[in-house]
Amino acid sequence: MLIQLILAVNCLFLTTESFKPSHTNNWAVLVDTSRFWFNYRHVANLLSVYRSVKRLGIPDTQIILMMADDMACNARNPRPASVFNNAKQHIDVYGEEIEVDYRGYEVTVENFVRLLTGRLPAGTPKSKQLLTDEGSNILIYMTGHGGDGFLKFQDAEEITNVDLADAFEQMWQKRRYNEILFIVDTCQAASMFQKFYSPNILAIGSSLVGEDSLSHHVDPAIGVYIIDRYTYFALEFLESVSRDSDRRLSEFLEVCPKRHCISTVGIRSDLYQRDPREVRVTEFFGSVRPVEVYSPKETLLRFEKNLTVIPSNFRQRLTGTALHSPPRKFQYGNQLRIPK
Amino acid sequence: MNKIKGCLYIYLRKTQYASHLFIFIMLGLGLPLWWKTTEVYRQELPYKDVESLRESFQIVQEVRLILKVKSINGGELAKVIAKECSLPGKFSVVVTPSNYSVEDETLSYLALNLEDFDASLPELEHYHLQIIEVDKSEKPVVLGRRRNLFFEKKTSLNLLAAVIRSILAEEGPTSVVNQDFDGTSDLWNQLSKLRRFASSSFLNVLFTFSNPDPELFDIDWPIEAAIEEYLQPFADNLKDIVDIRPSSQHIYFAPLGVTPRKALHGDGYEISTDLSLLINPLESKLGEQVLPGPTANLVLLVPPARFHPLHLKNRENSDSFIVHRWGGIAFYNPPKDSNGTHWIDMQPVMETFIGQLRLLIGLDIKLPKDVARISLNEKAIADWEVDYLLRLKTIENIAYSTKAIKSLTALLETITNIVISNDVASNVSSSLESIKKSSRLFEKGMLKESYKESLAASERADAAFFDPSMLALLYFPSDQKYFQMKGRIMKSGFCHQKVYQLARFFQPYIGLLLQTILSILGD
Repeated sequence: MLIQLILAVNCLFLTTESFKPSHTNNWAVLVDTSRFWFNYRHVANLLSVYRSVKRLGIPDTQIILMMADDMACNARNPRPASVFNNAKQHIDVYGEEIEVDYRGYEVTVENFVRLLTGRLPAGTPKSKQLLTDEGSNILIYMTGHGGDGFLKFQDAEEITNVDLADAFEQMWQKRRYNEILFIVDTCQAASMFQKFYSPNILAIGSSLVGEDSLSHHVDPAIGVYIIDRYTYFALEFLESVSRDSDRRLSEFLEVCPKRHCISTVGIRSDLYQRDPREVRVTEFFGSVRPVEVYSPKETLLRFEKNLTVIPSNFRQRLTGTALHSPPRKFQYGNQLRIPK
Repeated sequence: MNKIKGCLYIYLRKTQYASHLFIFIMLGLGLPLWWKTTEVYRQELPYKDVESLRESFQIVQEVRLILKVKSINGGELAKVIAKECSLPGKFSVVVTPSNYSVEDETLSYLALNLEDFDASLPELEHYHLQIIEVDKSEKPVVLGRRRNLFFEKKTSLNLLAAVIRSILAEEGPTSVVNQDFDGTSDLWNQLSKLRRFASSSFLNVLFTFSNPDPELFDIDWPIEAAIEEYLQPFADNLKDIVDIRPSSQHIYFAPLGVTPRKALHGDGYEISTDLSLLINPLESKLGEQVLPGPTANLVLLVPPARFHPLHLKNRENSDSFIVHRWGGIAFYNPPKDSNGTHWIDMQPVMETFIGQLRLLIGLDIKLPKDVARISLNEKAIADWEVDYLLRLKTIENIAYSTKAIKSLTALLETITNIVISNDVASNVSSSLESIKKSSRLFEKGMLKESYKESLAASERADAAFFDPSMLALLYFPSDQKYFQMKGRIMKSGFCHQKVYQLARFFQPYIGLLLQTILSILGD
């Protein structure tokens, strides 16, 4: 059987011979760990990254979005069902096709760690599972309130950097990822990746230990800060990236210098085996799917039975309607498969 | 005696023995009791046995081949074939030579062509392969639909040996190390490993018909009949390996993810690049998340009316492509004018889909040139291909479960605070047992039983690794516990600086000790 391989990816790397992607699919895990109206900026951060990642090709089935989702329909929102990341309200990042996988009080430390390690209870729907394999590149973006060595989840609990490091190690042991790009936009963000010890992780934090990450600007119409500095400048960079861009990860790592961000962006690259100058941004933010044109060389399969002419009794058996029937009746399929 | 009495008397008179007694009971009895009762519940795992599972084991399978010759010397040929095809560490091949029996001669005389001959030969015992010499065939080596391989007198031995080796899953993995993708090796070269679904006991197959302009095209497909006529024979042959569960659906108004260009030759439109972008708008409507477990999506896509007809640029025989580990998409251009409902001819469509499904299951056998195959009818799989799959998947399962339980035990030894429940322990032990049993059965050549055991091994290994109870709330590393306590020492005003330094020095043990003492003495 002759099969032609067409590497259908979102970069035109057919032009550069030496470039071949080292992964087979892309996932994104986007987590907003805070709730309440005054944390509007965290939701705006998250949804802006969600929008960029979707625009660059990652489908909803491969994005896990965890957020409290209490902004769009909040009583204080002057433009209900919309969330903006800019005071000038250029783009509604909430959009029309948003799929939140863990919303409201489901965003807990336990659910997050269960999601990463795969230890979800039986019967969890597929949209709430991280179904990665050994060729997956995962982008993990976390935003919210943090401190030295921990991240606060919804004012009720905390996840520590040791828990996170252990979760990644368990993912590595089961080969649930190829590479991880871990971005944290909170105060003292760099402490979250201090304890990692698994290979192939590149970590970026918006501030070092002892520094606070700051917000960008306030929207006087709603009276809360609307986006954080690091994410604002990261987004500016991502808007210039398209599906077939050649922008490299090293450029993304330099995205928010101190004069813009005021805090210092922390990076941990000792666990990452490749050189960020050789890695494209779309290897984490875009989507790759191996696709092959199917062309059987010889007619290996030659079916003998022929259904072209549907015998009348057959059709009746199938549809239960007579041949000259009026328009077909449509019914809902059995979607829930509840056993009788 | 008196001296002791005297000391005791002084002691009882002079000192505050109550607090001393108190501290003695606390430290001497209370501390060990507290230590024992706050132990994490960890069942014993068979650590030694798991370690002894070799990382790069090779299972040697004994394969029996039957050689039937007419005009050449069978014994000599048998010896040569056995030598050429045996691979150290993988196969030890035993070839039994024999001449054509009377029945064989009659069948050969009566048969119109090789296809008939192949069909009329008696059923072979499982997992053996028959190598039969024929007078004339279109290519030097022809593979039949059952467990037969036909060759001519003048076929070269090297070719014969190469074909036999590739049928016996030479390409398949036989060592755990090969399974380990460490991120720096070249995954793209292992194309068929990328393509096929992970081994499991069942596979949902979802047939989808996508019509973006239902008001302009009134098309339907007799999918239930097609599944019964074309998929069922295939699924029946695979029932030992994987249980295929078909479903079907129609989706409407799914946009085309890519804008096609006008075709360079002929009329119509074509798509050549960015094929994967066609999938994204479909995925949100497919609803494959409803089906539990791995799902192969086979989509028949009708292009929108304004891009009619639409073809793939580099197509040969079929306007379709495969998406690795996801499924396949085929284009269908309906005829422009048709009165009434146009019913799709399912034969070419199902030939395409089932061909794609074969690849997605793992039937990608690389045969050398000059080898022909008798075309398959609705059965869609040859008997020797079933054996090939059994071998391939058994080894894959064994390697997978070995890796899983080894990494689980390594993890549980490193992170000492995780609770190990009875379920986890029993799953690990039974997975270990199944691995050993499966290897033994495989060596004897009992493929079906070996496959079942290996499947059980990998399912139990997964159940053990992904057991939801292993996210214990006792999952606090010691420095985090100490972190909590640091604040308390500061608040209590109890020589806090000195104690703090001392505690930091003897961190792991004294930390716990101090925690106890402080909680006793009151916050």
